[in-house]
Formats: sequence, C-alpha cells, structure tokens
Amino acid sequence: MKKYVKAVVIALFTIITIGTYYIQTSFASSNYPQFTLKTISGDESEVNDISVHSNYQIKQDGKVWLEETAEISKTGTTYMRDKSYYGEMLKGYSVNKDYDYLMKNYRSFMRGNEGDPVTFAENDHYLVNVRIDYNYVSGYSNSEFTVNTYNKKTKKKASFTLPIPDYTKYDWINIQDVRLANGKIFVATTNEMSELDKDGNYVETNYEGHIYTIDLQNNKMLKEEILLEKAFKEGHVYGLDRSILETSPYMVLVFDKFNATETDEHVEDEMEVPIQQIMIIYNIETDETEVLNMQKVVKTSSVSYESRKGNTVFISTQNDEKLTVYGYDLESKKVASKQTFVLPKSMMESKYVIDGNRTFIIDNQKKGNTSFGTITAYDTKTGKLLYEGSIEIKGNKGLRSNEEMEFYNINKH
Amino acid sequence: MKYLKLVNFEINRFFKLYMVLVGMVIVSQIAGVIVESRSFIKEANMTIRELGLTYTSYAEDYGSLSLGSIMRSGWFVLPIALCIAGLSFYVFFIWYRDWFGKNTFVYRLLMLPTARLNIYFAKATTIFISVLGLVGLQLLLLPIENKLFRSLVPVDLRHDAPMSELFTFFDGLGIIIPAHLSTFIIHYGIGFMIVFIIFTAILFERSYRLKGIVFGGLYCVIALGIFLLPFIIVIYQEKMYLYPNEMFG
Repeated sequence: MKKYVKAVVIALFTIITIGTYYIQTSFASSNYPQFTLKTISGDESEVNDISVHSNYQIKQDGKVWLEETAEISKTGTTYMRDKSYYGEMLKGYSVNKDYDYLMKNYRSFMRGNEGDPVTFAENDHYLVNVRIDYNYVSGYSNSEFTVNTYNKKTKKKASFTLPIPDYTKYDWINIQDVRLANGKIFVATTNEMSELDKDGNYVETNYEGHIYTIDLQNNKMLKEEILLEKAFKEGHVYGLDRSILETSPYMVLVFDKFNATETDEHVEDEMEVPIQQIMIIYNIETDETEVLNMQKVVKTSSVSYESRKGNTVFISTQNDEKLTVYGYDLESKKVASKQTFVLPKSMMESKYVIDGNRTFIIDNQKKGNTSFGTITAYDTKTGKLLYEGSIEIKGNKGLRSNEEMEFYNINKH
Repeated sequence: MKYLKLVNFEINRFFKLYMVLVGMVIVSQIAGVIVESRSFIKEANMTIRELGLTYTSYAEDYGSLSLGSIMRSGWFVLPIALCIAGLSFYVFFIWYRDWFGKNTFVYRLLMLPTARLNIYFAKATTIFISVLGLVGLQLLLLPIENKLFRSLVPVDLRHDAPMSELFTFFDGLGIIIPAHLSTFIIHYGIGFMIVFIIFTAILFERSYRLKGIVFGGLYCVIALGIFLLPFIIVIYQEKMYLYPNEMFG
C-alpha cells in the first residue's frame, strides 16, 4: 500500500474536497432571500398555478453587483441560479398546459411537431396539426399546408400536404387557430401583403382573415373563405389563444387598425390608440361569420384583448387606476359581464393578469419589514374576491440595505 | 492490480510536474489576495488621509473591495489557465514521451504481461485524477483565501460575498466548479470523453503513422459528429425530433 501513497493521497483529497463541497451545497438552502405567498383570506388553491416574476439585486456602492430573476409562488422562491440547467432539461420543459397535455398523451405524434398549441385540434377520433413550413410564403414556390393527423382509434399517424390557394398574393401567412368538426379541419389564418416603400423597406400593406376548410377523409381543400378582405392598410392582426382542452365552435380573429400616417419607428406601438378594432367570429358548425366593431360594442375608444375561456372573450379598458373587464359571450353575442377593479398605484405596469374567469392583481406596496406586497384574485365575471395573499419574506429581518426585490409581473403556468 | 500499479506508476512520473502546477496555483492565488488587498488598502489610506474621509465614506465614494474582484485578476486567472494548458499538453505528452524518450520505453510497457487496455485506462485515469485534484485544490483554497482576505481588509472597506456567489462571479470558475453536481458530472463527463477520443486518435497515429493521422482525424470528426448529431438534426430538419431529456440519452 505504501507504494501507492501518492496516487491514494491525490485520489482521496479529490473525493473529499469535491464530495464535501457538493454535499454542503445540496443541503444548504439558497443564499438568497426566500419569499412566499401567505394567505390573508380566501382559497389558497386559486394561486396554485400563479407565480410572481421578480428580479433580485444586490448592490455594492450603488452599482448592481448581482442580479437574478426569481419566481415567487405559494411554495416558495425559485432563483434561476439555484436551478440546475441540465436537471431542468432532464425533467423536460413545461411550456404551457396545452403543450404538456399534448406531449403527455401523444408523445410519438408530438415528436418533431413542436409549434404553437393553437395549430393543434382534437376530437374524439382525431388529433390534427396544421402547419406551414415557411410562413414567408412569397419566397417559396411550394407553399403549402402540411396536415399531420393521428387516428386515435387505429393509433395511426398520417400526413398530407395541400397547396395554399393564391399564396403568391401574400407575403406572410400565419395560422391563428385550427379546429375539427364534422370530418373537416378549419384553419383560421391571417394573411399579410407587403410592398416596398420609398426607402426600399418592406411595409405591410394589407391584412386579411381567412378560413380554409379541409376535408379530412379525402385530404382535399374544400373551400377558402375570406372573412375580411383588404382589412387595413396599417394594423395588427392576431388570433386569440384558446385552449385545446376546451371545445367551442367559435374561431376568433382580431384586427386592430392604426392611423396610417407615418410614425416615428421608435414610438412604441402600445402607445398608439387604434382607430378601429374588429373582432371576427366564425362558427365552424353553422359556417356563419360575424364582424364586430369592439369599440362600439363596449362604447370606448380602445380595448385590450385579455384572454378567452370557452365561449367568453375577455376584453378590458383602463382608465387611470380603474380596470374594467368585459366578458363578451360568443354564443349570445353580447357583453355578458362587466366588472371594474381598482389597480394599485404603486406598480408601474403589468399590474394585472386576466386568466379567463380569474383576474389577478399585484401590488408592491410594502408593509412593515416582512410584507413586500399583495396578490389578489377576483372572479372576473362577478367581481367576487377569491383570494388575497401577502408576498412575505421568511425571517423577521427583511432585506439588507443593499438588497432589492422588484416584482415584474404575474406568471400563469 | 496491474491496472492500479500502472496508475500509480503514471502518477509518479507526472508527480513533479503536477506539484509545480499545484505550487504555482497556491502561491499565485495567496500572493494575489495579499498584494491586491494591500495595494487597495494603501490607496484607500492615502485618499482617506488626503481628503479626511472615513472608511465607510471612502467605500461609498470609491467602492469597496471584494474577493470576487481579486478573483478576476491575473493572480487567479493565469495559474488556472496555465494548469488547463499544462494538463491539455500532458494529454499528448503522456503518450509521446514513451516513444520519444532516450530509450523507447513504450516497448517495455507494451510487453508487460497484462492487457494493453490497462495502459490506456491507466493513462486516462492519471489525467482524470490530476484534473479533479486541481479542482479539489481550488475548492480547498477558496475558503482559505476568503479567511485571509477578511483578515487583511477592514470590514468597512470590503464586500463580503458568500462562497457560491464567488463562483458565479468568476465566469470561468462556474464551468470548472458548477453549482450543481449534475452539471459537474456532465461538464467533466464531456471533458473526459474528449480525452478518450484524443487518446484513441493518438494511438491511431502511433499505429499507422501518416495514414494514422488521417484515421485519427476522421475518428475525431465522426465522434464529434455522433456527439452533436441531435443538434445537427435539429439544424437541418428545423424540427425537434428528440425531446429535451432524450438529447442526453
């Protein structure tokens, strides 16, 4: 044994030092302050899927010495730095509920089929995904829809392609929603055209809303419907996210028209007030289309589209610290609910999140040493307070004078 | 036992050079803490005397000193870089010295009544132990240096940071000593995989000379290609066929 003394000493030294370090770090709690959501009133389960996206800073002599993002939830605080990158990767990413559902239940079909969950549709017999490989269609001579299908009964995967009618007219085609009904696939898209301006830059000149109907049995394009032709010269179009886990016969496309006068490029779009806001509702069962002017529907100059839950689209208007949330019912075609919430003055922006039937409001007003703010959850339709919780730091000391914790926004998982 | 004997033999051959690296790291880093701390205090004292400040007001106006900032200086970075360079060089030297010595020692080594694979693994083990030994040394040195730093610089002039913060501050050290054991295993696993690939390429060269260089080169390219295949597929197909957790599989 004496012969091997050098090798043994180096090996033992290595194992002890590295081993001790990692045993210590695995037992040691995070070095950073721990926050948690402490229930003041209401049902704690309302914040099960909610976290506060925060930024923690240590300052030294006025300069930021360490900066770290953190997520505060009712189970505690997770700092990015404390997470193991590979550990997270091995666990698998969780993008959102729809994606997790698809990956869990259709693991083989979802392989190589990543994409926006709204491009997937499901009924009792099929799961389908529609994609356009190159959204920038004008540059490609073979612009087509790729339809991937999975038959739940036979457990067979299939795929076919269909040329996009008149694709040469458009520069960009984006899929906003995909639905399945009566053996047909409905694909809602926003199609954009652009042209060169006097400086040689491409500018969007027109937006259109389309519904393509595909026969699932015969793999054929049944029809193309233009919901809104030559919509706007200057504007924004987007679909409203809907969950694959919910069934609703309505597809919704939203168009915001802005003043076409030349604006400074640096001016943020959100600062502009749209001159017209249109919501198009298409019923896949009856093939009916309805075009609504949202400013008229809620009698205001500008609305924000917040979220969609089943047959209700939630839109809001904000006036100083007053947030009014309207629930527009797609079935009865009228505003079914209207609630006003008071927003805190303390937060600069991102004060609230409307997740369908729940509205979360965050306030970063400190109270004493340990409370750094509050989170409240209301029923969006009735305005009833569902939950109130304080964002509390563990221990009684609070933060050191050189530490800062800033709340950015509420994250919904 | 033959394998252990060979490991011990290889370590003995490397020991002197290894001790030089160890000594250099200890001396340079400790000296770095002393020199940087002293020069900071000297400068601080001069300014304090000239302007009639207190330690606290000096720290507010001119900034305090942290071990993290000393760790970014050449006193720390250079010996670490030299160790990396030294060990990288030794990956090649550990084989070629046997062929190019005064007498071709490798023939005696290859004639030993043991599997030749033992020689390969013994040399690889020597590299692994040496690398991890230096990592262990750094882990042992940091708390000592932290204590020394605290004893040298008055509390008002220094910024105390916890150990884990120090690691994240010096970016290179974050790779050498990652915060999580899983990351540590992956970093060093990849490193040792590269060592094995280089060893095999060296043996290709030693076995077939000029042709062997081509074989070795091809082997390296193929090995790298297989390693990066999941990422290459993603780039060419523009689709993620593998789930993130399968990328490692």
